[in-house]
Amino acid sequence: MQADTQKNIILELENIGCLKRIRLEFKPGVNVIRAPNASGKTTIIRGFSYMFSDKIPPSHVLALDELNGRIRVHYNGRVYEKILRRTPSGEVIAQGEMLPFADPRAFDACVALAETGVVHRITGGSAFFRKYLEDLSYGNYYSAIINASQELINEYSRRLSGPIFRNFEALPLLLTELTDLHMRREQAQQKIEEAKSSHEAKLRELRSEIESKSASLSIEEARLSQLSRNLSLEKERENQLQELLRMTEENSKIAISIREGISSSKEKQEKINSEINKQRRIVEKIKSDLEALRESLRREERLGPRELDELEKDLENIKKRIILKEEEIQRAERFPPDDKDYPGRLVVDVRSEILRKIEWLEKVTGYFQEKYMRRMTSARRRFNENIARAFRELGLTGFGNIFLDQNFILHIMRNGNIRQPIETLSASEKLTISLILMLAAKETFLPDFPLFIVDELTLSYDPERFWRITNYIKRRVPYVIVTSLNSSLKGEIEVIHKP
Amino acid sequence: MNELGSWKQSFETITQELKMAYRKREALEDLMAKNRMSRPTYEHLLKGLEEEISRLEDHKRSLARNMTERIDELRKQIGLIEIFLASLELSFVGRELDEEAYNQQRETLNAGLEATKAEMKQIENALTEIKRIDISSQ
Repeated sequence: MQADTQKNIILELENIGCLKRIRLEFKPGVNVIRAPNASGKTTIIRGFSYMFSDKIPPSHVLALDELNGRIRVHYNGRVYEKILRRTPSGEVIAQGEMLPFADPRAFDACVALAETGVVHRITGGSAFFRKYLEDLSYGNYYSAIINASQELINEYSRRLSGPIFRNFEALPLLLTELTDLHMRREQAQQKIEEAKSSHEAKLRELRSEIESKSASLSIEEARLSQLSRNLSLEKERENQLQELLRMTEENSKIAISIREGISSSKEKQEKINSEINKQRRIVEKIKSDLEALRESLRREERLGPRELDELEKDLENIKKRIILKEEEIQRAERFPPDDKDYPGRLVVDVRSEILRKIEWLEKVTGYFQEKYMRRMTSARRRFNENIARAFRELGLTGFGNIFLDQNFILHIMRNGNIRQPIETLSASEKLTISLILMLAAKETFLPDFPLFIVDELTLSYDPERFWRITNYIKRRVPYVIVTSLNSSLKGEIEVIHKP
Repeated sequence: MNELGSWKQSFETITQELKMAYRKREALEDLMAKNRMSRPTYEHLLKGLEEEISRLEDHKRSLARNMTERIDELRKQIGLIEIFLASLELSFVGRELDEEAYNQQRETLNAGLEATKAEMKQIENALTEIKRIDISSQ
């Protein structure tokens, strides 16, 4: 008898929700909590479930005017107790012990509360089931690490795309621009050299032309002198002939011959004069050309190469741009001294540090992604196996197969492999599937948890099928607690045991 | 003709890019010498530049190999055309061909010979230019 009593679980609640003080005893098997509407059935379940984890209960766990409360459970010959206190700020804190089989996942896998939406689970879509299995299989720890790593990678990547890193990445381009300026500087220097040597050549050419003109002038002047001397000689000859003519008889043959001689001499003089005039023009022309050449030479010597100024200006400009480009390169390689994260540091060093971190984080992400995938695949496989077994063992005809696919989408297949959309299921079928999914979750992830609680799901349910499922659960879980509405009871709460 | 154009274009591009890459390396050395750049940044940029130069040199070597092969091919082609020309002469001397046909064929073969020699000369010049870049980069 003593041993039997020790197997019972006694739950005592004090000032929890609307319940002042209550004591309930649950025996191995099915325990039905019967009570009228709004008498605290769900409060009992909630109160009991606070003993499954060290989660901080919400402030409404205590009745509004109560400062203290208590949840006490007698289990396996020991008492486990949680004291609840309301702080001056209105929050509730809890102190005490959890049950030895406590597990924070139990609320999701072993407590089917209507208000927490058991039914909603099957209509919640792939996002819900992925999260549900993640939480139950602890895959959420992996996904938290993956998300944190990814966030860090994103943060580092954001940093690497900041303006200072962008300027640094532009260094090869700046180097190309600098090289281009170097090449332009060389071209400008070459142009200056060419201009200078072309000017020198021009000067040499002018000097040589002057030399040659001077030589021509000497020749032509000598010729002019010769012509002048020839003219003087001819004039002298004419004068001698005139003298001779005066001494000769007028009509004599000699006189005629002398006159012819004089006439010839005059013609010669005229010719020489004409030649002299021509020669003078030549000399004048050469002199004028020579003067022009000398003037050109003086001007060229005075002015120097025509475009030199322009070219030298260009060269200076290029040199200034080279200095500016070098400064730009110098700035791009370092963080400014007032940078809040990396003051004065070399970008190349910081960049490689960040890249190393990203590489490491990518490895971490990859490692945990693989682990996450393995865990989730295994969790889904075992979950699907437990669903299939439950359906098989319950002998629920009408359903061929119910499973989560690799995208965590729930598929409900009727016999004949016909897919049934979840929305088209009856309320009773939705409840059946929900309970079986929850039981499958419990068997997959919390096989040793000794309780399975179903709160008021009988309202819209086929009683025969409900008890078939409840009895099935009873065979797999030591303590099954079911709440049930009973309007005939006057504010009392009773527990009926069905072994 | 297309083949000729293609190697020429590749040759010009590679020559230009290599010259630019060598000049960039010079500019980088200059910055380092002037203390305008830290050694880690210099080494980082030099690494990228050396990789680029190495890639271009590989490309250039493969191009030079193709060009040498093309020269060998053209040399054989020239030899063949010369044999054809000699055979043509013999046919003409032996009166197997009339003068008009002889002249026509000789003209065609000579034109082909000239074009082949010109292409060979161009490729040889380009190869010399490639070797010159090699020497100036050292």
